[in-house]
Order: sequence, then structure tokens, then C-alpha cells
Amino acid sequence: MRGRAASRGIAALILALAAGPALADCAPPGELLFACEFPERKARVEICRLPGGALDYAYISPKGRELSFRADSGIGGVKDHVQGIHGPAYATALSNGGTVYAVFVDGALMNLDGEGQERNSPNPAVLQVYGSEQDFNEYKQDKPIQRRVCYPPSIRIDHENFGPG
Amino acid sequence: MTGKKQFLAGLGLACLAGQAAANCGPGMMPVLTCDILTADQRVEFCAEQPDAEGQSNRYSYNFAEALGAPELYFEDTGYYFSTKYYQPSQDAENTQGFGLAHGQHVYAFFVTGVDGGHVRMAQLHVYDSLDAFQSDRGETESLRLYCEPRSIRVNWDFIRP
Repeated sequence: MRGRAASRGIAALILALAAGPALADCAPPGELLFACEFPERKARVEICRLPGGALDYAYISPKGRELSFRADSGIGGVKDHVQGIHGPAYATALSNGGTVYAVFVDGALMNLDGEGQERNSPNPAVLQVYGSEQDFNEYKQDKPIQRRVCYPPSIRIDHENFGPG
Repeated sequence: MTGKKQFLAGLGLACLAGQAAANCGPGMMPVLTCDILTADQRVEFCAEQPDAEGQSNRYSYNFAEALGAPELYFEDTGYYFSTKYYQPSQDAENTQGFGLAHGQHVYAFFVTGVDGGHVRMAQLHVYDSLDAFQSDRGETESLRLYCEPRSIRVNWDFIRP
């Protein structure tokens, strides 16, 4: 069964997106770009978009705000394959002193249509950390140094502004 | 933090043995069953009815299309337990894992909820090795699928080291 999740039953997932807890905590004038929970770790990630294009990143766990920083701008990215995502994976990322914190999502969460666009990824959104921008930008290879998997019902995304271009 | 344990059953095993028992083979009872959130599939972890000493020596794993024949079925004589995601806290909710070995692979579920009570989430992980299952470093599974929350049935009596 490895890597062979079938492509059916999106309805439950989409419906669940609206049912997640109100976890986004973007302080005005910031607006939610992406948020999701990692319930097994009692943690969550939030990315907020500020006027002018800066982004705020926060990883919040029982220890508190384990990591939070602001990047002057986001970095868009695409990878041929990311574990748990069917089809190409699309990212918004933030660099923090050369370490890149990226959220990759599948084409369905990007609201992309078109032939060959696979849906129903087992893990429609993942948070991955890269040691360099080069590793993040590598299209064919994916070698994150850390990874968290979003619980699908908790995913919240600004489809209009998330991702490359 | 993980180790292979034979299950020493407590009392009250019959709590879920009614409707869900139909998903397990003869003489077996559910440990965790659920439908997969993102596909028309289901998974069933089952255990042999405990003997007079409260011990189960047979566990089974079944993964199948919703109404189809098993895509993968195997049995094991014991199980691995994982506290990888367990965090001591005042919060009663926590996450514990239960894995069965099949060749070099480990097929495991992690259940998040209040022991003996509310289940918030369950997920199925596949590991390429026992070392990967037992690793506390990051997310080491090769495949992760989530359970549709309303479909989850857990027998907490088996979620013990």
C-alpha cells in the first residue's frame, strides 16, 4: 500500500477545512496566509502576511512560541515531488538567516485545475525546513532537515496569495 | 521509549467488541479501526481475544479499499508501543503509538485523545524499518494517512506499553 493512496473522497477534506479551530492569530494589520495544526505534537504553525509583502512566521507548541521571525518577503517554490503530496508541490517559504522554512501544498489547495492535476494527497500540506535556499529551490530533489505534517482538517490557507507567482 | 510487549489484558475488553468486531477475523477484536480521510480505504488493527491470563498472542493488520478485499493483511505475535509523541502535561490529551511488524516494515497507528475517553485524531504510519519506527528524530515514516475522525474506533485497553 506504500504510496498508493487512491484519489477519491475530497469532499470530507474540503468540508473539514472550514471546521478547524480558529487558531490563526495574525495581529492586525497582518492577515492569515497559512496555518495548520500538528495535534500529535500539540503544536501549530502560522504565517501572516503584512502590508508591503513582509511575512511573519510562528511555530507554537506547549513550550510557547518556539520560533518566530519576520522575513521581508516570501519565496515561492515548486518541487517535482514532496513526500505525502500527489503531483507537483507548491510553496511559500521564508528565509531566516539562510535557513528556509517552507510550507508545501498540493495542487488542490492551490485551487489549480487542469488535466493531470492530482488531488487527495495523503498529506495535502507539510512544513519543511531546509538548510539553504539552494536545497529549497532544488526541483527534482527534496532533502529537508526537518518536517512536520499538517492535520488536514486544520489547514487554513489564503488561496489568493499563497504559493509561487 | 519503545519496546515489544505482549498485551496483558485488563477487564472491560468487551466495551467495543460489539459492532466493530465484525471487521476483525474470528476470535479477534478491534484495537483500532477507521476509514482513511483522503481516500476510500480503511484500516483495521485487531487482537486475539485475551486468554484466561489476560494475554493476547495474535495481532492482525488489514488495509483495504472500502468495500474491497484486503490490499495488505498480515499477523504478528506481539506489538510495539511508541511514546514518541507523548508529552507530560496538565492537558489530559496525548498521543500514543501501536505498531505491528511485517518483514522489515512497521505498520503503526498513533491515536491522539484522552486515555479511555475522547479520541481527537488517529493516523496510520508506515515505517521502512524498526529503527525508523523507534526513532525519536522528527517524522521518520515513509507514509502517513489520517483517519476520518468520526470513523475512529479505539479499544483503549490495548493502548498500553
